Amino acid sequence: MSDRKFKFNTSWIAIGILVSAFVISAVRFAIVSQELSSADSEGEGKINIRIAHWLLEPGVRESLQAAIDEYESLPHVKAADVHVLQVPISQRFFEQFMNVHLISGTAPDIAIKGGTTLIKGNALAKFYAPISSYINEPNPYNALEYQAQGLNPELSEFLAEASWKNTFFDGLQGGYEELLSDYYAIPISTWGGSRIFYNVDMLHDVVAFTLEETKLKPEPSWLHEVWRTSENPNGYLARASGIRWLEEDRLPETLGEFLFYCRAVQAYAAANGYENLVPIAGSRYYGNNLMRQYQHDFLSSYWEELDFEPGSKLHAMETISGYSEGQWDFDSPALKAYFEFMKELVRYYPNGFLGMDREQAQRRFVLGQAAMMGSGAWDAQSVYSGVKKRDDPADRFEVKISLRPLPTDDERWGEFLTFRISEADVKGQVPFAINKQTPHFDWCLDFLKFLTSHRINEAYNEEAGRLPVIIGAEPPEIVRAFTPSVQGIPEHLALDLGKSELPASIKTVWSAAQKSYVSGDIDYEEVKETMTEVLENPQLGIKKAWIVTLQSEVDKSRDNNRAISVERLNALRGSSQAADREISLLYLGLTEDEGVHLKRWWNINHPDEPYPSY
Amino acid sequence: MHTKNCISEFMRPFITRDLFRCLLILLGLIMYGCTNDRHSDLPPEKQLDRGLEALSIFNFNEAQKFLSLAQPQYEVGSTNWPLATYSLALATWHSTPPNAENVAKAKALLLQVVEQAPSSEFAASALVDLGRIEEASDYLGDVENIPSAREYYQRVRMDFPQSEMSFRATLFLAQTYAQTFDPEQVEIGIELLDQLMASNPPEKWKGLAAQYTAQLYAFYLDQPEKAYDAYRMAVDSGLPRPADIDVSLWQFGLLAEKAGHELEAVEIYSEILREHPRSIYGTLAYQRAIDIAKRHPDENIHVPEQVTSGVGRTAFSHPNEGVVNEEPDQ
Repeated sequence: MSDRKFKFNTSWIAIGILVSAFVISAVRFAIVSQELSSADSEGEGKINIRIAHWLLEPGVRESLQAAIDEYESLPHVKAADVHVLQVPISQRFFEQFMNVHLISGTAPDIAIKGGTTLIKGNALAKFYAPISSYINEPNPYNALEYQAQGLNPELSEFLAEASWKNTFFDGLQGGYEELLSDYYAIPISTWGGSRIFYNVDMLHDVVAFTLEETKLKPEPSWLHEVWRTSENPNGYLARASGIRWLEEDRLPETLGEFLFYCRAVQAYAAANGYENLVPIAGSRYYGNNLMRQYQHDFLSSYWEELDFEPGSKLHAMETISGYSEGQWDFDSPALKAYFEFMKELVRYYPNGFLGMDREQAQRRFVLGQAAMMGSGAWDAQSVYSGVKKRDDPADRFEVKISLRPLPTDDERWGEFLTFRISEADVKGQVPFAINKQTPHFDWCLDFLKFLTSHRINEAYNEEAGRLPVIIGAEPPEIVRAFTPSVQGIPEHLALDLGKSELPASIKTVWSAAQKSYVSGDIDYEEVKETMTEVLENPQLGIKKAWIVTLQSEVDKSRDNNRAISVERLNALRGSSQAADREISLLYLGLTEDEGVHLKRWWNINHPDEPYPSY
Repeated sequence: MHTKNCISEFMRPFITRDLFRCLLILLGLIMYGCTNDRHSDLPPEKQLDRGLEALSIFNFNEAQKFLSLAQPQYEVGSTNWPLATYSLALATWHSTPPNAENVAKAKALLLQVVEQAPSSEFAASALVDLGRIEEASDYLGDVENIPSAREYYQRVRMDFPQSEMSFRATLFLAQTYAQTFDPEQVEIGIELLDQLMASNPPEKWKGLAAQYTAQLYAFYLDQPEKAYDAYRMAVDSGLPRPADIDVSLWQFGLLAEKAGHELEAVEIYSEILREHPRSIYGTLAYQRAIDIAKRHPDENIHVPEQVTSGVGRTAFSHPNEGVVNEEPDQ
């Protein structure tokens, strides 16, 4: 026996744990992979289609399952022994799960197309199948025999004859990948636009209270602050308009009525000792923040002066260039008005709202401690069911949802807020894409056609509490109000220093300045100083913006060149669709090649200066 | 201390050098298992197919791996040689990260295609690509060589007249002049585009050249009247980006107004409202058309209503006829 003395090293425990973890995860990976990849493992001829998603809200999986059950009961599907299996995964881990399985070749046959850095842009084409060849024919499941009873004849005929693509409310733009010039996904629902939730019971109480207040002689001082007169230009609306609204006892339809209501809620809370009651359940969450939603409405009037190429999107550098050329500054009336508006609106938010999250805002509204809340359709189901589940029936209340109001001409800010930002570019969401490696592409496509047929899409979304994506499909009542409003100005035409193209140094300071201003830490003069300082700093501001955006445009141009090369090769090999895609990409290339548009804009204002560089 | 000794005694038979050797072998086997796809054993046709497949999904590095195995196996003059060589050149040019070595290799391969298969379509395409390589900056420090790029484009126009490849070369050649921003040079670019349009190319190429010409007149030379004429030709021939037709029409409408064709602008805005009822420019188009109508009361101009957010079965009307429904929006 060896006389070497064996010495135990505690590091071996760590090695042991590491090896065990490796073995366990390898075994688990093998089992999961086996399950995911053995589509036909459950018997000869049986076809399993796996559909991965993060739709874990109550009722959504059940409504998807109802659609699956009906699909599986179709005679031809039954005959082929096709089965669709849901793979629900928490949204938190979904992208990670898909990344791993797409790369390892074991991903489900259909999955919600994500936006990870790994699977976006050109890389999307590595993993998901393009579907443009299949969308120009009618959806067979919209044929007369599959349609719901009682459709009006015109709709019925349209559904039966229109191409699958044209049956989507957005023309299937929600599945279109601009960089690849092709369709890669089929959306099944949409959220629509942001809206304001109202506690209607509270509205009646507050209106009744306020009406009584207006009858007092003299009127309380808070009402004098609200009435807009020549002596009080900061009032919200004329007294006659305010009284008319109170007498009609309806949701506020103008900004003046809305702000009057906010002030009335405060007075009502003070008079009744409701310390926790606030007008608006604000939080740091974008969806709850009505101020942010009004930002683009306020700042959408500059585009004609700023746009170097009218008719195209307003680029962030056109905004910056406009600042350099004095076309706007921090004394511009609309910008100052927006900051004044923020200051006014934040009076009606809970104290410390910037430290609160979405759940806290929602809880406050459901508990009746806020008269209103801004949010989207994704919160509607939870709000309605939260209110319905209040223990004491007396605590339950009616909820109504409405668009954020605009002022009339004679109300405060009437000269700045003439249009809302349009929601016409809201697209279909929950986009399902087909795994390029699936052995059952045709069945996957067939199932997605079924899921987006008029009758099934309507039924699925009715149960799921979402807006359907198929033309003529009836939306569920609780989310009808979120239907996109196509009237208004394109969002991209608004002046915005938070645009993604700009350097983080500008975006961060702009965002922080707004937060500090609404929280009362700085005044508007300090906002001006802060922003002027950053914009004029050569390392952080305008100069950097020109350099950074050019680099970003050059990178985009390189991606476009790659796509042109590939499409041309495919066209040379006989694909007419590739030839059309190449033409489309070539137009982008000609007009924006190597950031030529940025260089031209620079050249217009600085003909004798070279483009900035480090 | 006693416990530690017990663990040590228990672990002793397992913690040996042999165990570490076993672990290393196991790791080696796992690594070998991961690379069980032996690319070099595949027949050249399979390698070419795999390379082209990778290329078609923008996986340039993977494509380069397969095509660099396939290409040397084809004889110059064989059917697949131009395709294999040209595809390898593309994969090499676009593989990431871009660098001087790969670009040089790609150029050499493209030149081989031009020299060894001069009459093939791949040769014409290779010349266009050589022009693009000279014209664009592919990596940090890559210097543009515009005169050389122009020579390649001119060669395509000379050697492959009236081919689709010559249309591409003409567009890129015109672009090299436009990008100088010098009005006289821009005019040269426009002249080249005019020649292309006058040569009766397929409508889609004419539409592309016409819309680019309109852009040059409108934004490089500030000649809205000529821009309007070119845009009209583009719309008649077919706009190059079918997904953005409403966007182009909106721009066309603005240009028509600027050129003084207000009544035509109303027609264009009306087309947006009728044919693209969900266009994001609907409200602006409607507003501008109404403003023009007010300025021309004698013309009795009719402007279609803009759709509101019509949903559901009762709100349906055929998308191409527009929907006017329910309550007017605020």
